[in-house]
Amino acid sequence: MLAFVVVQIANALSLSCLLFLLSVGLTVIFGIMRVVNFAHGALFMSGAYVGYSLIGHMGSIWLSLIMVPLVVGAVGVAVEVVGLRRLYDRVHLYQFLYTFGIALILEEIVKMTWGVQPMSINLLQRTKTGMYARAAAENSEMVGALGVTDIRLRTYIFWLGACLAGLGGLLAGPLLSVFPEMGSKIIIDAFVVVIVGGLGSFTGSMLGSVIIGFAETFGNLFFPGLAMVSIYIVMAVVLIFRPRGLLGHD
Amino acid sequence: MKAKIIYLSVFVALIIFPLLFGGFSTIMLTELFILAIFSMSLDIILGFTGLVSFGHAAFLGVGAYVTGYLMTTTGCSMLLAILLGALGSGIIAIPIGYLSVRSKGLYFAMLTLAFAQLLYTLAFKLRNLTGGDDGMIGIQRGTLFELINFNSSVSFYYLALFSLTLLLFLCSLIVKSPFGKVLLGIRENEQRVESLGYNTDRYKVLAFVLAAVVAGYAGGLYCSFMGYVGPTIMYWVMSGNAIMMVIMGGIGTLIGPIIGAGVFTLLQDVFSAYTENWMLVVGVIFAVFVIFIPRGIVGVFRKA
Repeated sequence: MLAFVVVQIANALSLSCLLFLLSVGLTVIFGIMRVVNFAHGALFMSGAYVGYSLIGHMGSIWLSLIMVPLVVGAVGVAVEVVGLRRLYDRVHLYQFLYTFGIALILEEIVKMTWGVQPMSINLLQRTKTGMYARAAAENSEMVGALGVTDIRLRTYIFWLGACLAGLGGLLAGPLLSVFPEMGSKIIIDAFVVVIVGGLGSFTGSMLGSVIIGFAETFGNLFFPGLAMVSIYIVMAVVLIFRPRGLLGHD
Repeated sequence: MKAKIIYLSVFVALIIFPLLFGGFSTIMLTELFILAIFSMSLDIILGFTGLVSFGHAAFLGVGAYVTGYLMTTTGCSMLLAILLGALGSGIIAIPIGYLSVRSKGLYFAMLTLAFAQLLYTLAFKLRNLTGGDDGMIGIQRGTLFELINFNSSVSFYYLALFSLTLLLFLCSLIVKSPFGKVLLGIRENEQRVESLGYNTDRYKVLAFVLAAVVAGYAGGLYCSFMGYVGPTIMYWVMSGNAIMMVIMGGIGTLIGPIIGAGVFTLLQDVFSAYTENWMLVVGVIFAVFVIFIPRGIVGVFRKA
């Protein structure tokens, strides 16, 4: 019994870490650029696929840990330079819509390159949590240090967010199976995390990730009839009392 | 004046269309009309109130499921079932709207997306009501007082065309009414409207519910049209498609989303003949619209 509970807690924690890695990327980009990046999920998914191919070709996890964020980061830079940069003086709606278009495009490119069949990666089961934590810590420091926003800084921030998404995708590969829609699936969960925690707050992202990670794992365990619904119930309850999320401010 | 002549001639052309070209193209246009009602309803909140709803397909879905359920289990007549579907969709929209409008900007987009995903998940889970992932099949359209047989694709075409015209008329009355002016005010500067003494949250919920009712009506039509309803109707992709229709056609114009629905359907038909990755083309065209033509096709012609 005890072992079972421990395993479930570990499951919940690893899901929480994954959600935190994603929501912290959303938070970095939102906090500094005021852009809600819908493509974050698609970048995450691209990371999983690029990781799949790299591990397959080179057989080295460590090299992919460096390569994947770089590749996905480069995609992020392209996304920012080609289009997003032109939209900063518009209302926020258009930046969001642009990243939505990019999400569609990335998903189709992945389908064309790797096909639509789910794939699985059976490597890298141990070092996840450490990596997540390090990436996250590095991030919150970043934000604290940044005060000014100029155009190149925004590219840099978007690059950083994309790297994080790519890294998340690579690490999620062994945890979830790899399929083209995994990005849009996880981005909605990440949105729920930032809604619960409060958009733009790092501590909020962390708190939201833990709450949602546990709500999903234990919700599925104790209320199988309500599987997948539990996180939305948590979200609705939080919203009734805290419309801007637990640690959100206007 | 010139615009009125164009609208009238398009309308007349659409009336005589099934008499000239039967069959497949009539059915395709019927689907287009239904999608046009759906995207037009999104424009009420997205374009006229400035609320970015990313979960509008939820209401299309609720309308469709209520209609389908009533028609398959109670033998309710189609038109009544569609109206009740619209009503049901409006009722579901009240709590969702109430919880969502208190947050601003893109927070609202994420929230509506999450609520829509919740309803999508419920459509899978509540198997007794919805049929789970199989959905409901074999929905029969029936007749209106034994006079009009809706199983004929031509009479259903006219029903869809009539619905679209009527709803376009009603929606344009609403957005021009004092209520609509308040919505526009909220879009432009919510704080100012609030300081004038309006309860803006109440107006936003009302606009949200109104849009949901129209979307629910479209859903009821869609369910009757397909003879089937399944969970994919409320998947976020559907909400995304509606947003693309509104933006490409022209946001905040009502007529734009209708044109956008046409453009979207055309792109889908043309490119899906060549590649199964037609969404790539749509995505690129949409991104180009967002960057270079943010006011859409109608916006280009209507230079303000």
